[in-house]
Amino acid sequence: MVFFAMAPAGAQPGRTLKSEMEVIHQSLDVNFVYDSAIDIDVPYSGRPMEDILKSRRSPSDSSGSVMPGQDRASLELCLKTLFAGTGIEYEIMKKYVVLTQADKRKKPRDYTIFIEEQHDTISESIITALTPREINRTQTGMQKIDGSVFKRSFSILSSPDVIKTLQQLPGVASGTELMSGMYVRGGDGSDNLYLMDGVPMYQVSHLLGLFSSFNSDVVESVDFYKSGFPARYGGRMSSVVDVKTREGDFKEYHGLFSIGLLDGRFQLEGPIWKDKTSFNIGLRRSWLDVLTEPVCLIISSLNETKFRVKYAFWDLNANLTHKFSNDNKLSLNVYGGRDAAKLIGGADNEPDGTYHTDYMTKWGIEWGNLVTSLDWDYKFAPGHETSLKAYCTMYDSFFGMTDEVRTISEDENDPAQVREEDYHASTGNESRTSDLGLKADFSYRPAENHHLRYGAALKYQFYNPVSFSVKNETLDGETIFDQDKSQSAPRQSFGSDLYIEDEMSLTDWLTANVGLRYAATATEGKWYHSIEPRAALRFQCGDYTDLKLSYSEMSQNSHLISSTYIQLPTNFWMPSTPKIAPSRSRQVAGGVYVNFPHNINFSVEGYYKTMSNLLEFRGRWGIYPPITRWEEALVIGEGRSWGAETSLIWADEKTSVEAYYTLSWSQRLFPDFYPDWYKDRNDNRHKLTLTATRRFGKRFEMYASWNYHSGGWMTCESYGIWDGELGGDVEVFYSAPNNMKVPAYHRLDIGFNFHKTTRRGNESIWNLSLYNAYCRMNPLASQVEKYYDFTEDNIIGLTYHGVGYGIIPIIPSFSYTLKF
Amino acid sequence: MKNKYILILLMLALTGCRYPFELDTKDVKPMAAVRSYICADSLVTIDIDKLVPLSQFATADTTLVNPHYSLKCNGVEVGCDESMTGERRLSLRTDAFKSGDRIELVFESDDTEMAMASTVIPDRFPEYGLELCRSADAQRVLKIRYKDDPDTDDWYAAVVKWNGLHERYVGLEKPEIVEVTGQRIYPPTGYNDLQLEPEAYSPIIMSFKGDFMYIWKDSDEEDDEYDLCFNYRSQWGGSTDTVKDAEVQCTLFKLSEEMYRYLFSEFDSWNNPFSEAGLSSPAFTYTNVKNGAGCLCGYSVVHSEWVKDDLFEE
Repeated sequence: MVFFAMAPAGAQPGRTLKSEMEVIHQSLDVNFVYDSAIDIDVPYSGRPMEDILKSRRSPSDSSGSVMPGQDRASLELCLKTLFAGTGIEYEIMKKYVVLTQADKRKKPRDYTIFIEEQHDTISESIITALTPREINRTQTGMQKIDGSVFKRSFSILSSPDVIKTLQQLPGVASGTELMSGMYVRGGDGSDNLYLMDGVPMYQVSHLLGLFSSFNSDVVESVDFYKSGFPARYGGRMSSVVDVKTREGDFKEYHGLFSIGLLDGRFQLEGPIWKDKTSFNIGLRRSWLDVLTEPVCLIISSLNETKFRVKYAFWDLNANLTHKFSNDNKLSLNVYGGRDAAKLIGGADNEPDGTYHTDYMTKWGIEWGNLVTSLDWDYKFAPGHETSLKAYCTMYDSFFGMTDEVRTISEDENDPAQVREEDYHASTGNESRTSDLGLKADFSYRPAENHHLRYGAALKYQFYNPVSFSVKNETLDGETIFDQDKSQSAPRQSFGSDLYIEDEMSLTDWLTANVGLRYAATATEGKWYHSIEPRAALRFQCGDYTDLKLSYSEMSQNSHLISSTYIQLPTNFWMPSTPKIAPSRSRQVAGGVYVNFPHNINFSVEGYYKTMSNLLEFRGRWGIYPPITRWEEALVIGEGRSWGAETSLIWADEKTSVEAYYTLSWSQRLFPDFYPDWYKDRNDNRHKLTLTATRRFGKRFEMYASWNYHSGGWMTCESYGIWDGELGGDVEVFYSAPNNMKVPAYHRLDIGFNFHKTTRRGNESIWNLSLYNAYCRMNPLASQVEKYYDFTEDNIIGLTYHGVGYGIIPIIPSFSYTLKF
Repeated sequence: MKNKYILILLMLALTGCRYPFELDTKDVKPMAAVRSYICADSLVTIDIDKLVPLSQFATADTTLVNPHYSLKCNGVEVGCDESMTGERRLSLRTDAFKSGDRIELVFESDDTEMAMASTVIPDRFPEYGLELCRSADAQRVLKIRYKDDPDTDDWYAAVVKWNGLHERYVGLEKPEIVEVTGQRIYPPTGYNDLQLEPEAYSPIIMSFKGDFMYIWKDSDEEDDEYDLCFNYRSQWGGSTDTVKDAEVQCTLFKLSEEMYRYLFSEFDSWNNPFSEAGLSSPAFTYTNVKNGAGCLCGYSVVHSEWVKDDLFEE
């Protein structure tokens, strides 16, 4: 979408549609939103708008405004007169007038908002409905999602979520049920570049993935790329999730308050210095611990134990923006978020003859992010813009257990003497990953159809995983045993990036976005250089159809070290090292994108992607990857994926229906596991998502979403031989990794929003949601169960089947939101 | 009535957490398993079995129907003794192969697909030296010093055994003297006898022909000159026990890549509790048999002299 500020009234000589629209705009305070394919500079020879408006003025009013209550009628008369016979249709939407071409088959290019200053008085949904679909962008595999979409679409536990919305899109596998996993076009989940206002984030989940770190209350838009990556993005292999948060309102204060089943949210924005400085703050906090604390106290007092369970997460987004002028802006963005869980068990034992023991076991998990950035945006000449950014992003996690035992006993030799023995043991992992960076992005538009971007970045990354194992024993205050087997493996890397990207219309029917990115990283004296070509072409085949092609290469220098497929705080990030080279992906994608009449959009996109230097963890470490020699616990392999994704979308002002279907293959080659290509565990052959939203009047809307995908894959014993005589032990073999399919996944989510206006004129919303409405117990984990069939005197065979463990039933939830 | 509906809803929500499902095994056809660890300069045994799908285990015929094979050494057909072959297993015996020989096996039967496997018999373990000493924390250390060829990828293994007279005093008026011969060094779990220094991802200790074998690859180390150290003590070593006339022997292996991978994957399969539930990597499926299972692999072995362990007597 392109935004153009209106030139001052009267600047146009002669009368044109545009000059008359300016008269309407000034007199009635109405803005126009129109397809930029509509030519409004054509001469207008009809009745002047001023005449019409004069005729409707109050005789006693010299200000020039129309009579109160007649705005709408005056506007309708003006529009009817102005656009008669022009082939332009109009629709009045509050303070906006939407102009479209009468010939609806002609596709819109992009939309121009004809305003002096946007006060955002319009419902966000109108802009969203007008947002051009993929057809108007050069990139393949790109989707721009407006922040308002998250509020209307699926919300787990009545809390809208960015990642859960993205998981529904074609080409994205969600992995384990309820988690924030995103396996994009065969990716491994750690290869998505999550950007919060341009700053990378290493971890984006709360509650082990149930919620994502992006608070939808402050999200302005999300740009999601699966292919055709512009050269300005780099650092991860499979996708880019570029989340932009909103600046605060420069004119008025407003916000919202919401409370749901698990969390509460508060958002407030407004001016600090009207028209110059604004703030926007969003805060979320779970409040489950408020319930668990008193329950634990009751249990503890009943059982005479020390028992406590506590879980909480919070996050805070804050934006402070100051405009020195319309072309000069400084912004400070801060995101902080943290999860913490504690489990404490213990008891004070009654004295038993000669001794008395108190013990306590503590188990704790914590993780969190802190992301800050300072941005300076400056337009130093017409068409020339620059954006400078200094940022810091930190992710830390902790997983630990502590045992404390105190024994008080009588001295065997001297019963009058009391001996106090204290034992303390702590084990666990903690890690910290930090980036400090500087970025400079430049934008130059030498012509309307030519946009050049270039920039550079420097970053310093520090990784510090630590495993701790401390034991300490004291007797009467004196240390009798002290052991510290803690280990740490700090690593640091330094990187720089350069890119240049040029988007241009070569002809009326051909648009190109070509670019090149150079990335260099140094770790432990080893330099890795990466040159990443990017190209996307868009062929416009008539007014309704586009063909697109893209090729992109991406590299990744940071690796998630995880011994399981679960998002745990024991996982940590490490840089590429002399032994572990950066991962790399190459992807070619192409598709057809069609705008049919009646607002129906259809697209089909195919892709082929290869990935090299993928990492898998091997071995016996349970949930603790080894800290110091983690490189030896990894094996290196390759991946490839291909498939086709289709989408069919229809929307009008009240209803939208979306259908996404993906047919895909994803494979891995890890010679240490298997000598040939084998299926990726998220090789979901078919994925289908059907969503519908419908607004009924002004007060009620509902949505429904049905998600289906073929089952993932697990590895299980598939062959056997009798070891010895029939009836003896069975020796088992595996045909290949990921050789058995788990049952298909499907679920239905339903939600309802009830809007109401309070006596003070504020909007309140009740949301009711049903997650997994028909209670399909989709497996969280699966395994094979086999057991012998017996007769009285012999084993006659083997029963062999899979077992799924599904723990997520139907989850009803609600939330109440008050906007003010 | 409302309560009834709520009750039904709750029952739906809380049931069915665990449920069985049928595995899709229609593509699982019988295939061959080839198992052979070929030691350089030793007689060779290759066992070939017919694997049947577990889903048909009760009824499947495990007999190899009309088996035929081709075994080549450096491209030349090799004759085999099949006298040990049984109804359900083809067992081949042949003369020794040498280091550097390339072995290729093709096997087919009427009801299994053609299976193929190959390996190269590795050369000898590099020149080495053994030293028994005490570490800084007073552990007994067996130090194996050798130089790796930096131009090749190599995979190694070691087995350590000791002999001696073990005197046990605990709870006895007179010491019980046990003559220990060829005693295996046990893995660290339980007795903490053997561990690789320093802080290695390893030990990777496999049970190989009844011995505990430590395996590693040259890329695990930073440069081409290695000091491989085993910290060890007797698994019977109580504080009042003594060991006399002790001696230590180290058996050093050079493995083919297939053998290293096969042993490593077996080790992982025993120690990875998450993979069976699909929650971690599938590490136990290694095979170098195309259209089959198992492993055809090679190794070479050298035995050190028995080295007197005076450290027991300090």
